[in-house]
Amino acid sequence: MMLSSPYLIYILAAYGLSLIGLGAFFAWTFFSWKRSSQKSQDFSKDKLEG
Amino acid sequence: MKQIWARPSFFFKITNPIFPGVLILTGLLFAAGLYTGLLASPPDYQQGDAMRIMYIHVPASWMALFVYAFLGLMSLFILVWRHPLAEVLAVSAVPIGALFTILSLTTGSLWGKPMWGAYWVWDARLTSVLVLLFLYGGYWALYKAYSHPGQGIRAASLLALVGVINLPIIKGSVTWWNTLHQPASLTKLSSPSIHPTMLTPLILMAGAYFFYFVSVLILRTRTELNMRKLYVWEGMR
Amino acid sequence: MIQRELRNLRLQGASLFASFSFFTLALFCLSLALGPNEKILRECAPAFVWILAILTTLFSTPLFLKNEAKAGLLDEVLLQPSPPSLYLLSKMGAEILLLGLPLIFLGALLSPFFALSQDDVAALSATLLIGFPALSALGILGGLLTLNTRPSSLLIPLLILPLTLPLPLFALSIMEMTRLGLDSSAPFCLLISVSLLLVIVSLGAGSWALRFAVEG
Repeated sequence: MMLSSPYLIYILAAYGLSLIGLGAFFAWTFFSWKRSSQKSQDFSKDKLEG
Repeated sequence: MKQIWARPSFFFKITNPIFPGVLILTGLLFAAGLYTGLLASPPDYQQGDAMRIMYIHVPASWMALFVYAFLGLMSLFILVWRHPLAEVLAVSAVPIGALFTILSLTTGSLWGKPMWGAYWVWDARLTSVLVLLFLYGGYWALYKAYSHPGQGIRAASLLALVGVINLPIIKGSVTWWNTLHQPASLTKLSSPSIHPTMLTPLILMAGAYFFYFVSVLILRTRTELNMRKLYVWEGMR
Repeated sequence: MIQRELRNLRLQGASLFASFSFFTLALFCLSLALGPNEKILRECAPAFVWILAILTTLFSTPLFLKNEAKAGLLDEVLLQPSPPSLYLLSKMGAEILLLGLPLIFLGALLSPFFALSQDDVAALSATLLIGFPALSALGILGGLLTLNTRPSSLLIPLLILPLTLPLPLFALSIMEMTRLGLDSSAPFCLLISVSLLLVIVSLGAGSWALRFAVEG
């Protein structure tokens, strides 16, 4: 039903943009968190050993 | 008591156990919202299937404004009580708010083209959302322009509060400006009254967006706290 | 107090002159670029004059502040018993006299470039007169917020321009109504109240910003 709508491209564009945008932002946030906790763990290990 | 509030360990103690739950809740709400929005609900008799864009446009707009209100509240805490956790929360929230604003503008634009024939009009709501984007950008630019983040956050918080006052003023003035020029577009662009069948997906998506904000905020706050720890340790070396 | 501010501002005569030149030259270029069509000129002129007034103020005011800060004048302000907002008010007053009035006068002087009628010029000057205090106050706020930042000339307009928006919106409504011959008392009241509101908010926030900037 929806696939035949004349507005399909707008709907796809809007939903696609939103979901991809939200997903990409989440991924970026997640990986920057991973990197920062990695760094701080390395750092505290250095501190304890050094 | 306030000192306990402000310590990062307090933040971790509260958020670490609930974070997985929040994440799962976000996913579930998105799934439910997308299902009911795209598949399980009927198309609008006037707008057809394009009305479904409302389910991702309106929550984005709501969250864009909510995050700015959140930022305003945090800025108040920063300026009046120098609350350290508020500083971290504020800085973490700004990019998310900007994201929601951009999504609101783009989905709104994509909704506007098939519905009312234009990607953009200078009506009150669109203009004030655009201004909101500039306010987010201005906050970030001001914060980053200081080499010392402690100074930067205070200047930026002040800007955020001035922005909170200005947002309704701008909205009011553009409404007024538009009633003079284009009364027709105002009535055309006002949203239709909500049907119950449309309300469910809308609420579900709104919830999904809200918990998305919470999960991303927690992640960004953790990141920011880690970075600050590193910043301090680097300084102590 | 105002006298002191006037003196300070006059000492920065070079920057003042640069502001006037910028305003005049830009207006001249715009009128040239629009072409000879009188109707278009008449319609677009108020917008251009207003935008240039905003830009000139937003670029010049923080510059004056930075120069004064370098001279150490701002630290003295906090040592005074009187509240800093009073100082900012006098600074705004001095700016209105030395920057604002000449700009408004220049705008009126250059109106023949834009084929404006006498009513138009009167209305435009009135809107600028009402709006300029707000522009000056916002410029002061912008300058104070960015006093200790790494130098970046585009930062302040980015921050403050969105906040100035209500002013040109109302002013342009007034100009439109004047052009159509309608009674424009309603937008005038709105313009006055918005300008006043912005002045109060900016000066209030400005005194906080001053404290932050000086304390560091």
